[in-house]
Amino acid sequence: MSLFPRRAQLLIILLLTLTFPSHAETNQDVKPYSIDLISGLTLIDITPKDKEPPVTNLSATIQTSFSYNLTHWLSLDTGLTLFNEVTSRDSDIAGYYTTTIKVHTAHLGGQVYLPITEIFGSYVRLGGVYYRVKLSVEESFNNIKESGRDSATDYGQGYYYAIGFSLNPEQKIKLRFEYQYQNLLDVFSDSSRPFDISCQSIVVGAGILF
Amino acid sequence: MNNLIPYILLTLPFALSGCTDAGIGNNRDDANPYMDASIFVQADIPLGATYAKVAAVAYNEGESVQLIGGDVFSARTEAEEKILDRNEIFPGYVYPKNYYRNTLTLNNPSTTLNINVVHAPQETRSDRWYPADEVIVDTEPSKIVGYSASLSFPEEVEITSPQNNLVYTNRSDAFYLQWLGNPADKLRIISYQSCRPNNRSDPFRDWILYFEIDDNQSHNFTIGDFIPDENPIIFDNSMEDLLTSFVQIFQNREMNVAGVFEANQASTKNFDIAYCTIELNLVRQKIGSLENTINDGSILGSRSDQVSMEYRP
Repeated sequence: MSLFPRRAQLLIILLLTLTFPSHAETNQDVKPYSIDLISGLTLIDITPKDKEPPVTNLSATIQTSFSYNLTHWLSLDTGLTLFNEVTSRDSDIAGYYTTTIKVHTAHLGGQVYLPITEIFGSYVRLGGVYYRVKLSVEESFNNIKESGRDSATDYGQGYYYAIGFSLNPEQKIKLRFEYQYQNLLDVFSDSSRPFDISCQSIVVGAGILF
Repeated sequence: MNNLIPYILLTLPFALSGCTDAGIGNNRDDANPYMDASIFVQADIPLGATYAKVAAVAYNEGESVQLIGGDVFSARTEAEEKILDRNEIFPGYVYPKNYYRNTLTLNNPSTTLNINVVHAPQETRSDRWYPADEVIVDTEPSKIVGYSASLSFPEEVEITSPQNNLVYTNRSDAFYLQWLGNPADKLRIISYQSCRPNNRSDPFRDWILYFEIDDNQSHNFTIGDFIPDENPIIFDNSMEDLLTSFVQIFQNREMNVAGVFEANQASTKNFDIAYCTIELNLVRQKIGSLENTINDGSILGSRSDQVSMEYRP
């Protein structure tokens, strides 16, 4: 069972399919595909539309991506990012509550590579993201009433950009260091308090070219 | 087939992560801590104000009771309706824990103010950062929900003497308190004293005193009635006194009231006074009506005025 609505699935398949036929003849020296795995730390800011200040948490991140290299300097990439869930606790007149946010995103975009030496270069990535956000709340009431838990999930769109450095010590392997920003817009947009989530990450990782 | 590889890679972790999305709110109705609840309510209009300070507290057989899980006091005037909030002195620090308060606009002081205990799960969570209409653990309303009370306000009280900020140097110094306005049910003095020591390393001392006096527009006091000597002043803390002092002294005031609020004596023994400030509140109270089946309690509408003075021995 997929979590993506059918319209988003069709869009992703269409974009990926359109990019494939031209790869082989574009450049004989360029490995056409790469699969990367990166991980790092993320500062997650949750900003309600009508309330300040934002709720800030630190999280761990893991991201896998698949790239199709059109030329030496231009590629398309797509992938998934899993952010470790973040938790906050507070109390008010209704009782004590613990909120947990779990964020998954899928991205689709482009990358421009700027070589500095033969094996070392910088790059810029940007594009759109599709998110899945699960919000869970556990409430307790000083043992006067019974505690409980509730959760809800929302899907939506946003954007991302990243800048980083890439080292290719061998033709089939690359190493990456990257600053990445993902902005997830209008989470729970139909609710009384929609919010945006921004994720700023510092990540390192490696990729295989084939 | 090659074209499907990216899509499979893209969707696999999502599919593996699962997609449960259950909304569960556990309820319990067997515990009822409010069976013999006592409710105390007071609303006060300071002299010249166009608002009323409202406070309420619930007790059960002498033990404090918190309204929780969406149960809350709601106060309504002809101008607005508000939930009575916790007395959060600074973020995360609430004291006293079972006191609730707010300030309501009042266009006409001769109006009636109504207090109801309501179950308001959304309103009580309106300050949370997330959408409480999407995720909420809602509980059954407690038995206390539905209780109500109403009050009206007495005639204005205005202190005409002594002047503000006079300085007295002896405990035996007398001052003649005079005021205007027709009597209602009770007239109370609630005074807050704070004394500073000559030795700056010693902590300051503060306390609250309560008097009920006749509402005949004048009363003689000495400074010694408010600032004790070697012998401590002993006083009773009735629930009404505590609530009145909460409304007059502590509400909307950022101070640590622990140790002061429910103290029952004041002493300056072994305390070298540099000076003391006396904040004297004259409170004219009118008894309101508790409705339905509240076991015990009181509801008071009041109007008040304040004068401050200093004692420098």
